[in-house]
Amino acid sequence: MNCEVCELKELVVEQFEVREVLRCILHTIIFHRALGLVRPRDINCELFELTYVQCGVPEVEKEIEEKITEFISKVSKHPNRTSQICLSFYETKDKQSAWFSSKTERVYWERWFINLQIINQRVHMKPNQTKIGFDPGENSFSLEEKKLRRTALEASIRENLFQIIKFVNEKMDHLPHIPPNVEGISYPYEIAILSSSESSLDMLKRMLQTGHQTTLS
Amino acid sequence: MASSQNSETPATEQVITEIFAKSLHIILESRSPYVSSRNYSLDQIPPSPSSSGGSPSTRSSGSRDKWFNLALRECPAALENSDFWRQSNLEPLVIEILLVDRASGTEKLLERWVVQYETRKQPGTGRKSKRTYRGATLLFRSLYLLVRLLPAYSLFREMNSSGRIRSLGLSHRIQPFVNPLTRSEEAEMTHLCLTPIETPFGRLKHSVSYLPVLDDISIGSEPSTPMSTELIPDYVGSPTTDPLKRFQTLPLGGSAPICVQPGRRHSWSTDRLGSPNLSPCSLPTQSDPQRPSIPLRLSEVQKGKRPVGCYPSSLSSSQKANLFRCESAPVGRDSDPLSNPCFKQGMDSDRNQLVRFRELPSGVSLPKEISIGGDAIRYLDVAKLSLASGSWICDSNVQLLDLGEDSDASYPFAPDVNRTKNYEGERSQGAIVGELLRMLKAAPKLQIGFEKSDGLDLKPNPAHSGSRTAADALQELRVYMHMRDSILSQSESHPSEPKPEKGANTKESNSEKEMKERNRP
Repeated sequence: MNCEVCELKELVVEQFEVREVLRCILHTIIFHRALGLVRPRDINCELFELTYVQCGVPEVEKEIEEKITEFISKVSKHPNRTSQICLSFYETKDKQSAWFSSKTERVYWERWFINLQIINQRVHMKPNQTKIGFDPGENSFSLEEKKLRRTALEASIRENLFQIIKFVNEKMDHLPHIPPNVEGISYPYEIAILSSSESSLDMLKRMLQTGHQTTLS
Repeated sequence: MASSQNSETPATEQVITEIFAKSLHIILESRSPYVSSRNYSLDQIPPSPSSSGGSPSTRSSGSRDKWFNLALRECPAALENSDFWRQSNLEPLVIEILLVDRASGTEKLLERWVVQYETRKQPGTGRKSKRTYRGATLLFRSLYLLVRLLPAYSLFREMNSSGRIRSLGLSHRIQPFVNPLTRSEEAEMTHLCLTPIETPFGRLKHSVSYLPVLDDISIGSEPSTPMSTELIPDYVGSPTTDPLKRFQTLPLGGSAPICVQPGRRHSWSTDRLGSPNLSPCSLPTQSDPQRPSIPLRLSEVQKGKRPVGCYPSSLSSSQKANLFRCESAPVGRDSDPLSNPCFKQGMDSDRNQLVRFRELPSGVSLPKEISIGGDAIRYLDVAKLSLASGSWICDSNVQLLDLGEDSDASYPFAPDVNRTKNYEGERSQGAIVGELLRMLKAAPKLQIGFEKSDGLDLKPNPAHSGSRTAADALQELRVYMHMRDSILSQSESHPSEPKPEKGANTKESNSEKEMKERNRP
């Protein structure tokens, strides 16, 4: 079976935005693949002028929150990196081995890669932070920059959502058969956290921008 | 519904019919602001003759909801427009979302959704209705999200959340034909097509043309009118009108509040009793989440009771000012507020408590609403206003003057008889409030136990005193003075004891004389 892959456009986010962004994208994908009976829930983002849709299954919501928490804890240890979350849909098939044992294997038929670049918040100084030679003018500039960055991120998220719509509309032949009278999730899925190490060029770039000594834990 | 020319099976026809209905439902659910359709019932929808499987409208909304595994809540706008507008599945479903300017009556096309069934001359892929159903299931997931991603959804959300009637509104138009777009519309709109749903003998296409940018059509900053209210141009304190002008009664479904907009954000104008910075009430907009919604407060008005009162035409600004103060404004005691009969006995120490006013003198007309600036627009809901009886109850979260406060504390609304007319012939807001207070003092029955008197003098009424008041204090002073006198008399009989100073004695006797004068009927 073909495994369709969709690589979503990279999003540059700050740490506090990670949860909201991942909620938006993960729920949107799962909503499109929860082909059982669902009662959709509209969720208005707190950080962005966006509304996304959840499939309304509590177990899904719980699992997504746990995965996001796990992701955040991983990326907080290694900031300023590009990290990936992979949402995969699979089928389980019994693989009959030559001998009397049999085992089930997962056959993935669709994978979604969500790419996030987490930027360090310390780049943008806050008024209550003390720093030698702190320039108040720098803070006002960072506020403007933050606003622009937030607007750009919102547009990127919207673009991601349109990308999801386009993908699910174009490719549907690979979808497995939906069992009848199923409610909520129709296909099993898994969420995996993949983080890529920072490239040396990225590290050098960041050091020149922030002037901070980087420590990797 | 007549069968298509290419003889789709009845099952497929039914699926196609439901696809149209579901599309209408999803689109209108997120574009039609919640209007009152209270009288709507399913029985009012005539059964469509074109439906082969029985009219969907005659089925329960519950079964329709679950079509394509997407259970949706009821949408009155969609149900009202279902079925009877189209004769067959061959006619397109065109839904136009319009931005309507109620003032000028102009319309602007924001979106046009087109759902169209196209037949094929020859059978295509031979998909069965099950595949059609699954294709529709997938499409509606995307459609449901898509309607929420487009710019018009923000307008819809804003209108729904505020619940106000604005000059701009969203409307929709449904028609079974596609009007060509004008050149300008064609140029400024973006077009999207979803993947068609294949049927055995045709396919269903969903497309949308929409305005990608609505920045110039922002309704957030426009002055909005509360639901069921109207703006009153001649508000209290308007420089062009007599501030003592009497205002007409606001009907419950009627006028907008008269707002006394302070100059400063958190207090009344610093120009105490001067010309207040009164302006037409800039009503809270959705963009300011801290401001409470005035229509919500108006809806709290009990039935049969008048809405928030206005300043009476004959009150001085100082009298009015004495009634309320902002949280941030200092409050002091003055002879007028002390005598204010409107304050509830035993005022709460918590300044944010709701308080009640009682027993106004008859003939007093009060403003229907007073908006006091601050972090939020505070206003008065008049739970009961009867001009004839002269009583009114006003709930407000503004602070009230504390009768027990230090008289030396200054506050912006202290009644100042000398300043009732700050300018030549011009009456300031403070003057109006002061005059109100004077009238209130003349009230025959005072809740806090002050009896009516001709002048500004007060007579305590111990019978009504339920908590500590000035009358109680005076009484206590009398007791202490009596005790002092008895002690003095005892000391005279015992010359060894030191005598009190003459000056203190003089002061105390003076205060007692004053009290006696006050108690004199």
